[in-house]
Parts: sequence; structure tokens; C-alpha cells
Amino acid sequence: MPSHPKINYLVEGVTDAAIAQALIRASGGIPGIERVSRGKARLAIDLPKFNAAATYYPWLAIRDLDNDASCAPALRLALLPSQSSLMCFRVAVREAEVWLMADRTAFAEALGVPLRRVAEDPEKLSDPKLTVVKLARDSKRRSVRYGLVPEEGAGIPIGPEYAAWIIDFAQNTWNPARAAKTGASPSLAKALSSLSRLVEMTKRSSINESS
Amino acid sequence: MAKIEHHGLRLTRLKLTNWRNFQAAEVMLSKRAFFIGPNAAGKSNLLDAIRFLRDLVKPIAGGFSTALELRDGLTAVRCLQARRINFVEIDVDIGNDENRSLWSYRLRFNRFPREPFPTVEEEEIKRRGKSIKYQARDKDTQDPFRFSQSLIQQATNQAEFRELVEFFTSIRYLHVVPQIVRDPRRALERNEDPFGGDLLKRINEATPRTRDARLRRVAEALKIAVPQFVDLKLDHDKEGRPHLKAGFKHWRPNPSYQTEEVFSDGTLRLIGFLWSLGEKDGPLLLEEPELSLHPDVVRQLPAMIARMQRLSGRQVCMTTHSDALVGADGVGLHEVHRLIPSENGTTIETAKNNPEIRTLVESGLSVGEAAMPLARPKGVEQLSLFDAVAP
Repeated sequence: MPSHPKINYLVEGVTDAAIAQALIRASGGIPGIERVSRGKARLAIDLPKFNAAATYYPWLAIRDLDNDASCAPALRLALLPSQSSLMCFRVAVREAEVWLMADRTAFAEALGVPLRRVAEDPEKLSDPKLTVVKLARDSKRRSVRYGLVPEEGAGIPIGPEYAAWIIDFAQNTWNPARAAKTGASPSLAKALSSLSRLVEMTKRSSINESS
Repeated sequence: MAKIEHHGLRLTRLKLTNWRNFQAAEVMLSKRAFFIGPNAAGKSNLLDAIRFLRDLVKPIAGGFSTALELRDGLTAVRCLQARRINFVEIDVDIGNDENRSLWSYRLRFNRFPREPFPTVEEEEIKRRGKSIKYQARDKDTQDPFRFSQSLIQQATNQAEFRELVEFFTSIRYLHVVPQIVRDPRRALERNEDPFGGDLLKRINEATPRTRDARLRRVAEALKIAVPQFVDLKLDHDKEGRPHLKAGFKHWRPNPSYQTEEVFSDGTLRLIGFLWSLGEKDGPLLLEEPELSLHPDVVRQLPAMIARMQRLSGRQVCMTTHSDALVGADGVGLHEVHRLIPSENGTTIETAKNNPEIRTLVESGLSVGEAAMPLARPKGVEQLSLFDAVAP
């Protein structure tokens, strides 16, 4: 009887993988097989396949809402009309960065900006990535400014260490339960409770199997 | 004695005329430069032009004629497509974020009819845009020997442009071969081995303070790729030979340590160039840093490089065939340079200057996803049609 069941996860990118791992640990599970789709187009293709697998094994799938639907439930329904019993498919409003920002105090501290600069309702941000980079620009830490802000002419919104910084924060500093309690991100709170239910269910089903 | 006074000095512009594949090519460089293109487009020849600058000023076994001899002479260096003009020229700017051309250096050379050796045709050193040293050879010069050396290699001259000479001297080409690093005989003998034979020696020779700080930084960068990684330290065995030891986390309370003899090839290559990146020197030239690394690690490589550069400011110029490397998060349009071969020699195009790539990136593709398809060799899918085994 495993006290910490393995939960597999399907995500868009490497930063989301780090976030998924932290969520799984916070819900009492252990991160299992990782599937990084690299982009939401490929995630949409992967989703039905892993949903089929989730009939037998627990899977967590995370996708950004971006501006692809009016709300998270609408997007979830559009991408996956019927979820398998062991599939927990969650949509981050609007990007997974918001879930990290919801842990406001820790986020402000890590980024080296005053707490008041971190939005209290980050789900309302239209482009959270850009917001993070904007904050980083004013960071008191050189490493943050240098790493997260793109160089002139880069043509991309993020700096050379952006992904590494997000991964590092998600794995070592972010506390999903604490973040969910702030109420800053309802989509995070719902994801966490839904994932906890999945963990409980997996535990119970393995008890049944072994008895 | 610090001779390089400016922080974060790097090559900001490189212009080649008739240098190997490049009849006329120019490129602007930032802290990281990724050179992509099909095989034989001239990626290594481009790095070689930068190495040539170093060979020019090397105090031992260096200088203009030696640098050319090392490359099998002028005809081997000169572009096959050279037409109207037959000289070879390298023209560079060196600067930092504040001033992109603190120094400029231009060397034009050629071999004149009925002369036994190549000579300098024109050479100029500029400081902040102002010419401080210049020599040119006119057609009726009787004494070619006067021009058999470059100005920049002459020690008596160098006081005026010491920083430039130091910068060229500290250019380093690195292609770490794990077997060579592991070979204990090499550890204390080799100097400036591009294959990494002197890696342990260099780590050993750094002052303890520098060494610890730099190893800590290397370990921190490695953690991006190998999360179980705890720390990295240098120890000596009974014979006094230095060994690298890496600590890995596992289920026991204390980390366990491994020496470089059992590191994987990939780990060793990574440590090799991350250490070099921590040295506050001129450009580090890397050939295909993705070799023997897992694609997931390669994807983290640009971030690791950036993390080391934060400490040293050292520029990295690398050739690559890896989609994962160029496609990594945070690689910008200004850092990816595509070599385009043609009948008139290879040209260099920075992704930033290609409207099509720019549009693709604006619509959400990574720079690698947008630029790499253009760098693939043409007709490669037909290779399989060749009959490798003669009937």
C-alpha cells in the first residue's frame, strides 16, 4: 500500500513540469512519468491519448488558458469533453506563472521587489509572463535583472535564465498550499483540491487492489 | 596585474573577406553566439578566424607567418570564390555593453607576385574609433621582409594597445574530450590543451578562493541540468594528483562523492566548459557543445551559459546542429546566426534580420523552431537513396 502514490503528468513546457511536480508533492503524491508536449498545439494532440491511459493510471495535465477561451471550464470542456476517472486536467488562468505569483510574499522576496508590486489578483493579468519580466526589470538583484530580462534585439519576451529561474522557484521556494490559501488564484486552489482528490482516490484504489 | 581594464569585453563585430568559405561576410555578436548551418557551410572556419587572432599575438609559436603556416599557408586560407580582390582580411570590433567599439582591429594580407611568402598589406588598430597604429604596403615596396610581421605581434609596440593584445591572447578554443581529461598523465603536464587535458591543472592552479567560488558557480549551473547534484570540489590523491569530486544527493543523509574518473562523458564535458566559462577572459569558442548530452540537458545549456556569464562576462561563440540548443527558452533572435552557403561563398545572416523568422517568433515559435529548418542541408532526405554498398 503506497502512502504516496505516483502521479504522472502531462504539461506544455519544462517550467510547467516543475510546477506540476511541486503540485503533486503538495497533494501528497510523488511525481511519476513526465510528458512534456512542447507547446499547446502538441498538448492538444497528446491529451486524448493520455486521457485513455488515465483509465488505469493517475495523470495530471496542465495547460495555460492564455486567450484561447472565455474561461477555464470552457477550455477544459473543449479540449477534453469526457475525462477519465484518473485524469485530472487543469487549466491555469491565464498562465502557470500566475500560480507562482499567488505565493505573493515568497515570489516578491525571490524576485527582489516590494510585496505591493506583486498583483493581488494575478488571474486578471492579460500577460503574466510580461508582468514577471517587467517586475524583474526593477529587481534589486542584478542576477534577476540580468537573467530574466531579454537583451536588446532579442525579439523574445523573456531573458536567458527565465525558464531556469521559474523552475528553481517552483521547486525550491514555492509552496502551492500557501499560495492557494491567499485566494489570489482560484484556478490554483481548484487544481490543488482536485489533485488531492485524485491522490486520495489512487490511494484507496491501491488499497482495494492489495486486499 | 590586470591588463584588461574594461569589464565584459567581447567581440562585437566580425567581418571576413576571402577567409576560407567567406568571400564577404559580416556579423554582429552578443554575449552568446550560436552559429547554425549545414555541414561544410563554414561554421568551424568562422571560429578559426577568431582563433587566428589569438595565434597572431601568441608570444610563443605565434605571429603572422606562424598563424598562416598552422593553417597550411595563404592559399589554404584564401576563399576559393575570391575573384576581383585576392587579399584576405579580418576586421573586428571589440567592446562591451556601454561601447561596442572600444577597440577595432583590421588585418589585410596577401602574397605578391614573385614573392616567396605572404605579407601584411594593410593593418590598423583603432581605439574608440581613433586610429592609433597603421601600416600599409604600397605596390613598389622593395623590402617585403618589413611586412612579414604584423604590428600587433611586436612586443615593443604593445604598450599602447596592451588590452587588445591581452584580449586576443585570452581567446580560447575548447572541444573537451572526456577521455583526455580523465587521463591522469595529462593532468599536470599539459598547457592550453583545446581538448581539455589541462582542465584539472587549471582548476588546481586557481587560488583556493577563486577556485571555490568558481566551482560553486559551476555546481549551481549544473544543478539546472542534474538536480541531484550537490557540490563540486577538488581533492588530491596520495600521489598529489588533483581530482574533481562531485557530490550527489540520494536517500542517505550525506551526499556521496564521485571522482572525474567515473563521471559520465556528458558531465565531464559540461564541467569542462562551464569552468572555462567562469574564467574572465576573451571569447570561448565551442564546437557543438551538445555532443554526448541528453537533449533535455542541451535544452538547459543556454541558461547554464547565461548563469556562468553572470559571474565572468565571458563571451561564448559556438557552432551547433542541435534544435534543442537553439530552441531553448530564452535564446534571442540576435544570438542565432545562420550560415548560408552559395556559389559565391557563405554569408552570415542573424535571425533578427530575417523578417520571416521574426514573424514566426512573434507568433510564438522559439527562435530555434523558426530558424533551424532554414539551416538544414538541402536534399538530405535523398542521402538514403545512395547505394552505400556497391553491387
